[in-house]
Amino acid sequence: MGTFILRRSLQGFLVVLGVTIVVFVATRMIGDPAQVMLPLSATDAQRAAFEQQFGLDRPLDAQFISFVGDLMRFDFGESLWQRRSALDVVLEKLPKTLELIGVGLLLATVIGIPLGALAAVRPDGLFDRIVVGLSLTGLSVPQFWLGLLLIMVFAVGLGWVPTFGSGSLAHMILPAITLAVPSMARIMMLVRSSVINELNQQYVRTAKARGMPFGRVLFQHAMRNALVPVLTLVGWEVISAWAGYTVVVETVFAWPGLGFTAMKAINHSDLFLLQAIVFVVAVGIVLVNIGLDVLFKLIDPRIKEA
Amino acid sequence: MTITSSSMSDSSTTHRSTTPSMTQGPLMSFAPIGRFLKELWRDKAGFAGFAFLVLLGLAALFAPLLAPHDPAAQSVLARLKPPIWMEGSVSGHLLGTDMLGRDILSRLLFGARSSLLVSVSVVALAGSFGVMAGLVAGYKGGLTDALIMRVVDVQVAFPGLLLTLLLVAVIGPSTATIIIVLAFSNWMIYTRVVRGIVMSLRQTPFVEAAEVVGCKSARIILKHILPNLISPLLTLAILEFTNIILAEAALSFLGLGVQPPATSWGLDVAGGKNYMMIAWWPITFPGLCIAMTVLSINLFANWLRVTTEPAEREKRYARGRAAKMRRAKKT
Repeated sequence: MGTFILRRSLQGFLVVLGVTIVVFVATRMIGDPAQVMLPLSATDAQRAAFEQQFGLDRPLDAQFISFVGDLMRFDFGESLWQRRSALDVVLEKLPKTLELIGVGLLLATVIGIPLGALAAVRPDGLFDRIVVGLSLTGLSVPQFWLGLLLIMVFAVGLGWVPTFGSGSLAHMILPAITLAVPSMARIMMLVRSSVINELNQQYVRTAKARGMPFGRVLFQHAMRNALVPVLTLVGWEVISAWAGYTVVVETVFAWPGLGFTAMKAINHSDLFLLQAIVFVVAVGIVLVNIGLDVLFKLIDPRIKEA
Repeated sequence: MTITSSSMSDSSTTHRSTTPSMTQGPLMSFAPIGRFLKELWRDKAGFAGFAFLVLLGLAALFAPLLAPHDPAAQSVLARLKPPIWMEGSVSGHLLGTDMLGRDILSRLLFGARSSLLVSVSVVALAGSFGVMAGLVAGYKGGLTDALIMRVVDVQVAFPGLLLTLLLVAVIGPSTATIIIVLAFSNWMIYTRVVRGIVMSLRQTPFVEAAEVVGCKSARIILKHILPNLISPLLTLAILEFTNIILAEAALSFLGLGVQPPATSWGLDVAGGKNYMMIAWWPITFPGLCIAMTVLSINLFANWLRVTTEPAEREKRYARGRAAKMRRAKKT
């Protein structure tokens, strides 16, 4: 187990290094921070002062070393838009995003797993067709549009919930549903095919032959075995939501999390804040990945260390 | 070997019925297309999806001829007019007008071009690079393989959309930028899939025979291995298509994708967003277009996956028989 965690950590380190290199190449070699961050009317003298302030006039290798050094000390510089440390801004917005992901994926799992399992009972039956149709629709609808439709119907039309912002439980409902829909669709599909597979196994036939009620066969025997790939998928959903796919939902609902802040940072040309968000998220992905791998290994020791 | 060869020939017949007929030019026979459509017709949902995609492709191709108005033409007098079947509509604007008085139907037709241009380019770029990397990694093995797959593993764990946002923000948003950035962040999946298949194909007798005969690596890869990759790659590429269409729409919606005066469905939804309290149509129709397109691709891909995989075909057949028997028992 020790070497397993060590190897995963090494891999995680490579990921963070990779992100560092891509961000450095993008911001310092392809793009020009002075051009992105300063207004168009900036004079040459202002540009020079800006470049000197942030060390952009030094050779690239020196810039890279100080860039990496700053990152290792979690020093992301000052957010030009908020006029305070970029890391502070990120840490302040972080809980809101975690809250959204938590509630959204809980919703997706709690609804997706039973529906998928029930659909598997009779493949190609009426209920199965409805579930498959719903998942295909859920996978096909763009999230931003779904969010706007929900606002239009439930917030503007019916007035049941607030249109945007955060604060109360009512604010949470629409963003969580919007975030949950595609994940729910994927979870339903996987649970369905996984349970169909298990229901065709010999042990299910034995259980049925012994006269076990079908509900128990389904939920205690077939489901337990079917859930291992499903857990992997849920873990993957957490990571991909965390990897930036909340940006769209947060922007639609003006949810004050990391994604919405990233969009604001772009609109304010605040490259340092955006960099900070990307790095904190990258480190988060690595940590979540390692955590999930360890968890899965504990649940199912058959998983190989490949 | 016998199993692989029979399954391969089985899977490639369905494929052959689509592509070569297109390349044969005016002398092509319509028989393969007929066979393809006949097989597709049995899956009504897949057929509907395919039909919608063909219509969409034609609409995008002939948008300048089909569009009743210039998609950028504004009219102060005809702002936010509802679709033709509602009260207060203006004749000539079938699906109504947006907040600048532009014809929504015309914008949808031209928007289809952006969606298809971006998704086809990204799938082609990312696909060809990813497949090449996968072929080399799977065939060469050893250090090359380890190196390529390490890059793949690392890049798969990148904070996808956020990094895309950063790249677009730094380079400056444009259609070309999103094509490059999306291709950069989506090539890895092809490499993974291709490498897996190539590694198992290397063990097969027909590749070993080719090696023994003395074929060069390039010839083995291109002539012996690549043809066997076509059917799994086709399904993968089609599913990737849906991801790219959704990604382009999302980026354009956020203002980081296609830029005005060009049109895009995502851009139109963003434009109509501020007026959705008083007018539902400017955001509903473009969003519906995205959803319908992606749904159609999903339905078609679902049919294609089942049809090109012999094991899945058997399962589908067995399920159909079982359902028929159940129905017979009931009556």
